Amino acid sequence: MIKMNLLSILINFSLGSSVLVYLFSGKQYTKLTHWIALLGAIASLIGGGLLFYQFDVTQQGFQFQENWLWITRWNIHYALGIDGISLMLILLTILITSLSVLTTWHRHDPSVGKYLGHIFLLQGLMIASFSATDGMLFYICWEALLIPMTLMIGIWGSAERAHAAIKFFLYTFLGSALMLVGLLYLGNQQTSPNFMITHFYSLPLNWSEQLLLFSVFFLAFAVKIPLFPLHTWLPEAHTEAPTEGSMILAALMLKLGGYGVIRFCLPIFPDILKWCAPVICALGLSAVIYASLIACVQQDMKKLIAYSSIAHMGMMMVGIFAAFSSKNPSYSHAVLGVTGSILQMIAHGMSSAGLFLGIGILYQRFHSRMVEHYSGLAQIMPTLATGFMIFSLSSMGLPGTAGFVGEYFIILSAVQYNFWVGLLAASTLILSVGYLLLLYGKLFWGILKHPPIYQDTLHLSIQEQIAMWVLVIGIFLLGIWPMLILERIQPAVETILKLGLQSKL
Amino acid sequence: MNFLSNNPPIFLGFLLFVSIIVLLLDSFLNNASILGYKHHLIFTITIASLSILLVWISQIYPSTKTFFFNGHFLWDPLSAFLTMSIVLLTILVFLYAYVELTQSPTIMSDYYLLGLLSTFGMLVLVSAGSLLTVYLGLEIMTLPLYPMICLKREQTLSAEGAMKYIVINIFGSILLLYGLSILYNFNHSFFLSDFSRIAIGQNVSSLLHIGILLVFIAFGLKLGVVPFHFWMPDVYQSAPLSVVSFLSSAPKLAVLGMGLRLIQYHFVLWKPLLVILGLLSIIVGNFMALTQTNIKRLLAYSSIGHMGFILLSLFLAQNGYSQALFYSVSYNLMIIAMCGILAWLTRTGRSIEWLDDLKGLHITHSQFAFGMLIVLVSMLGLPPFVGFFAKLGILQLLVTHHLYSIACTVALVNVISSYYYFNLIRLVYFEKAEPTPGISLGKFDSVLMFVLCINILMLLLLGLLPDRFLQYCESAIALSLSH
Repeated sequence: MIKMNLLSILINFSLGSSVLVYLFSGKQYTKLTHWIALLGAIASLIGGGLLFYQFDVTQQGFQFQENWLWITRWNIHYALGIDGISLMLILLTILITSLSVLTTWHRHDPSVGKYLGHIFLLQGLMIASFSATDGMLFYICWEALLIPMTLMIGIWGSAERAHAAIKFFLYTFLGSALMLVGLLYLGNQQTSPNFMITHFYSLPLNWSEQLLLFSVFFLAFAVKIPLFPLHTWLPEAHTEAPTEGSMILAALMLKLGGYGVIRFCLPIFPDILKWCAPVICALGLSAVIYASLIACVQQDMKKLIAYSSIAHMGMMMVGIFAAFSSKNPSYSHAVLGVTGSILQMIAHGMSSAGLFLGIGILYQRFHSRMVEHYSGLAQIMPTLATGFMIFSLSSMGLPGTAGFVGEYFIILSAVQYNFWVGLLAASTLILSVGYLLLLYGKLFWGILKHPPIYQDTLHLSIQEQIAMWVLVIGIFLLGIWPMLILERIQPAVETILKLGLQSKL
Repeated sequence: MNFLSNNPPIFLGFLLFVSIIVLLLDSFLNNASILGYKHHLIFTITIASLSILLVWISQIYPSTKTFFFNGHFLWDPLSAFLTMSIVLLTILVFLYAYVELTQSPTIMSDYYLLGLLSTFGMLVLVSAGSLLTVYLGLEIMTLPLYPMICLKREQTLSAEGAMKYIVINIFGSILLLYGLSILYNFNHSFFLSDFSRIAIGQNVSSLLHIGILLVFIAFGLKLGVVPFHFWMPDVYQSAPLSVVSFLSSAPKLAVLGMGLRLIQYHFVLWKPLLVILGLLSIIVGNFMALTQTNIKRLLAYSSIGHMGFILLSLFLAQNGYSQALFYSVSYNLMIIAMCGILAWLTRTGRSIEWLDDLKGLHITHSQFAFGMLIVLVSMLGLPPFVGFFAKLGILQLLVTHHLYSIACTVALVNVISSYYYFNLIRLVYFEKAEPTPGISLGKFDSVLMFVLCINILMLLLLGLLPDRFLQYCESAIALSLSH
């Protein structure tokens, strides 16, 4: 009997559910597929709960560790383990994917089993990449993720789906192609070649090595995040993807990039980091302003949210790199920024998933993504109006919602570095109010444009309500009680930043 | 059993015997009442004898070198490994060919007869212990391929392709013969075992350079390496699908086996040729594939790219040899599976010639679309399929040899190649379907379908658990080739 730990069980369970629902997708639609998927989602939620419960807050380093030699020839290990950062992102993954299982309930076509299979596949691979402590395992899961995501956009997306899917694939594949060479280089630098991430941390690297390796790693992550000017795949992919695809893409896929920067770039290349941090900060700031301004003029709701994602992720990059830009980065300053960035990632995961969910609900009923086709919806869909308002407010960073804490930390960190940088970063608060409230106003306020034909279809189904309220609760919970995350990520952030502030030269 | 394991060359006699039986059956069973069964009989005999051969060789798998026929025949782990792989791949090719050829049964018996004879040549080639056997094996392998390409006699395109193949290959054979005679002149011996005694001095005669260049050109022509690749797309396009899958799999593995035996001597002289032409093949093959609209031409160019990877790993000495074996066998599994899927699709009665013929496959035949997805993703080199690990090994070796620029070039060209693989996936998955007739399955067909499933599953399993297979490759190289 092989003893598996909770992480392995979670991953294998997700992959197993994926195969199971795939097998149950016959020629005709059956309700059974949905029920199996729901059971799978509930089980993975329970698994996530157990993970959260058993996680030891006080312990430094990785927990739930597991290590098998996988491929002898290249010394690749199946090594798992999580710290606070991974834990939070895994929980977010489980939450969002489970909710997207719920929101597919209205789909009655025979291909729904395959669709759900893709969601579970994404869930399993995502958990695996967040919990991999072997660099090669991380890379394998990271690349494998591309296949189901591309297919999801390409098969179930809207009109321009093929173009968007291929663009998404080529961009991300190009980004990470050289990362493989970088990983192999890091692995081979050690006395006995292996790819354990913790071994990379202690590897001495000179300036030019750091520069080259940092660029290949950062390119891969920057495409995923996406950092301005590598962001052009994102609006198309988000727009063309089906609702659940957009939710997973925005809430989880982008976080992989941020996670990669924190896990790999900060501790492995500390010297080059200080050198190029101002540039990255500048790119992050331009993303904040540029993407926000573009979002203001979008006619397509999904595109608007996509650009707001780019702005939020730019904000996250400012948070990570602001502290490193200053002449003598202080430890507490760096902790503040990186903590803020992680909070921002989780908050953005929930609010953007909520916004895409809301748009999906509208699209399913009115078959349009254009803002101009809507008006005065609050009169006929009050529940959705409430939920959408809360998601928008969280996205704007209103105190009391999850979005606030992260943005507050990031702006604090930016101001500590430089007042003007802080001011520009803070402009996101105003700009996001601009585009999100404008959108909200056009959609939900005003005169009802199209009197509804079928009154009963307007009501949110029970599944949609659950998905929405769970996200709302999550947003408020994290807004009011951010310690829930903070105390768990604190040891991990400290460990990483101790390495990140220590010169390797 | 003892007798068989002491005298492994007997299996060659067995294969020849089976070929003669097939030939006799084909010639004399022309009674109208049994004509319908003849092809199935020949098919069954072929598959059964090859399966027997597979079990046979697995039973006599050697752990040391033994010479037979005065040193002309060499039986070592490498020959056994290659023989087993070739027989296994040929069985798969023959099984899938049956799917396509049942629609034109008249050429079926010819196909299997010629295939068996060619396989016989391959087995001679991979166990060659002397230059004479190398040449003999290569000729026996290639001769049956000429008529195979123009099996569909009524098509003029077929004849053109065969003609091209004949001219190019005879040209290659002549160069090989010439090159081998120079090698002989230099070493004063036919036998590869004597080669190792002659160390390379400081002043290598330019004659040896020319000899190696000539052998390499022949080698490149058979493998389809840039700049000796021009025949490939034309021949692939003109030949029937089952012949394409045969041409592109086992013979290339056999030629690779021959290359492995030859390049270990005077390795320094081979090295520049291997790396330059390897890189050129990767680049040219993948770039040319971008613009193809014919499926077989696309496969030909992608195959040229993959051959480049194999050359590049040969360049990396001992560890590279085993990686080349791994790459070659796994690539063969992919291309055979691809041809198998296409062969099944011809059952719908539609011709599967152009990329557009695959439009919307995912709606009309979702299982085949899924299989094709796995094959394509594996060819492209995405984890967790075997194609990724084949490429990973090469990149890893390049990095350990500090050849970072080559590693980066290869990785980037691989990204470019992803465009045409994904273009196929786009057609299969993202496009709307035109109505097509379904595939009706006979009793025996479910077995064939099962084999195809296993083949595709292998791509995933070899990717998830490559350890055992890598060890086989490594030990075959380590025990057989001495540096």
